Amino acid sequence: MSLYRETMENRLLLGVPAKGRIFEATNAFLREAGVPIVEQTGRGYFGHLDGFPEVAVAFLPAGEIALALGRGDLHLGISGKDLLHENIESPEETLALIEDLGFSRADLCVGVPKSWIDVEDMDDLDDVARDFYARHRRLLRVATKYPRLTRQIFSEHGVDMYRIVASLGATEGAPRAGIAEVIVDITSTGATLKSNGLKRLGDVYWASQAQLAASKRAVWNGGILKITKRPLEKIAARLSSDGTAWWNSLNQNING
Amino acid sequence: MSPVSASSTDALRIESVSFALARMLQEAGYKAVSTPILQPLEVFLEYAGEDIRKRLYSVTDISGGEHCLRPDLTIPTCRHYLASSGGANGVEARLCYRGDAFRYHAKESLKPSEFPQVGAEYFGGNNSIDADAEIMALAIDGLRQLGCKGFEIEIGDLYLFGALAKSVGKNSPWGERLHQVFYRSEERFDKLLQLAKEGTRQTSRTIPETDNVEPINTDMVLGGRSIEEIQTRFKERMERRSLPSLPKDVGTMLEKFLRIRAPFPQALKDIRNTTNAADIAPALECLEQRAECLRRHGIDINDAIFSTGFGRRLGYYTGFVFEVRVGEMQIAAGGRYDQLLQALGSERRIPAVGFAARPDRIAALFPKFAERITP
Repeated sequence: MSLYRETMENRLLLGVPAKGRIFEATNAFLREAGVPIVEQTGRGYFGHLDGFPEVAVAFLPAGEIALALGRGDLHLGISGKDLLHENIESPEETLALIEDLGFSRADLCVGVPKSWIDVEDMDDLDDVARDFYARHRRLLRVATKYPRLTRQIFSEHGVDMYRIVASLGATEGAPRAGIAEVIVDITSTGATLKSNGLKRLGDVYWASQAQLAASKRAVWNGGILKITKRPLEKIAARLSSDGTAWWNSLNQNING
Repeated sequence: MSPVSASSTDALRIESVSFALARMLQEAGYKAVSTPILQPLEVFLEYAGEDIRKRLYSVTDISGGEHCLRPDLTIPTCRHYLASSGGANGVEARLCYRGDAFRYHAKESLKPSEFPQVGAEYFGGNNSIDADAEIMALAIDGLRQLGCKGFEIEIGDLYLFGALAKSVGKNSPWGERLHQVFYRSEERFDKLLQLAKEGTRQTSRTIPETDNVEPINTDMVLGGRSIEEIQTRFKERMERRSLPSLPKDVGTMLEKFLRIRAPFPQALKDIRNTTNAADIAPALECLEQRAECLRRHGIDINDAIFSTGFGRRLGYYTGFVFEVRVGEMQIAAGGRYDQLLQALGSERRIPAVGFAARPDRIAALFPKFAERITP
């Protein structure tokens, strides 16, 4: 990351998702905001915002953007709210600015086997988790790519007789494969849950969408702050938001 | 070393407090044991309670074995006892320990993630009220000898609500249900109590029709449960949804009971007055005995706050619980855990009670004692 650190002394470094649907959506969004990304020829990992050569764009996986913001290796980043909350311990304290961008919407939800006709909400899951342990002498397994958010959601609902099984992909298939009983995952339609013999518990709504965030831990100097102002205003204008207010809040928070 | 490492003078002070307390415990007849820092992860995932579990440091070794750094010394001490010949037979034993425990705390919280504990566990004592008082007196005397004063003591007894719920349960199915949920989140309990007071009959229109539920078959993903298991619980759940309400005065009584929090003698009176309609004479008798027994062990019970809801969410505790605080800071805590040893693999039920103190906090709050021994 030292390359980034050097860049960050005199250029604003913005992290943008490198691939997937969120990449397409981010590209389209920035184009509509009047600051399309210009890819540097021959260097696929960097680009800049059109009209703002001093705003460097780094293409990174969305999860990596969250981690880099947490460390302060990016000034700004666009990532999913789910990833920001999963990969940064206390985003409210670490990030100086968090704005909803309105795209890549999805819900983090708890999926249980559809056959569990006795389970409709987290209270039921709590009972079943205890009953399961009493009967089978092992903990209910919850497969997820989001261990931190899962712990948070389960703890808010008082569910504690479970263990997390780390999942690297295709989480919805875990119950059918017999490696977990329950899953916690992001879903936009619920169709994958259904096709895997699962259903969604009704009382967990953890809505995610793309967010623009600034890291308090990044190197911020007067020059960088000045560079930030115009592109930030353009992005805010695209959402009919007040860019000056965003910028003022950023100014306040990076010193806070 | 803890992330925020103590200065060498502080470290010496903590060490001398910890050493002095451990010595007092040994002089009181508790045998010192030493337990491994590295413990099997599964055991702690199952028994430690959510507050500790989310703070566990876990490690996977190259053979795939999962371990954790001990988040407290009670479970390791239980395991040590069970592995001994006496433990296998449930023989009475008084053990004590001192050592570091590990729980993750965010840097910003300023709490150390590695911290010292000194404590005692009393296994297999058959007179539980007396054993509870012995342990609590051991803790309080120890703290006093270390120069601690001006602390607040809070006591609870989880057995009491159990007795009350059982009495309510004689006339209403809500008793057992409320007891099951008593140890869960307070929000959930309050929600259930509200529901019990209102009864569920009037909400029956929100109940899904049984006919609409797709029959379960073996081709479906069953998630480790049998069809019968799911159906049984489904039926229970349906039945629960059309329960008559709890008699109004019983609901109010339970709410009033759970609000009791007063110096022990006053709390005793309040509990008697509040529950006089319920049939819990033996439990009240036990509570009187407890007060008397604590007094006999030299504890001023006027100084101790008894709280009927205290200890509901403290992991493996099953009965008597207590905590010693200075302001918001807990310096010692303990209680009875009669089911843990069986859960950890004992073939017989072995009663157990214990406490743990925090020498680091004691040394910081009451530096005089430590200064005396470490100039």
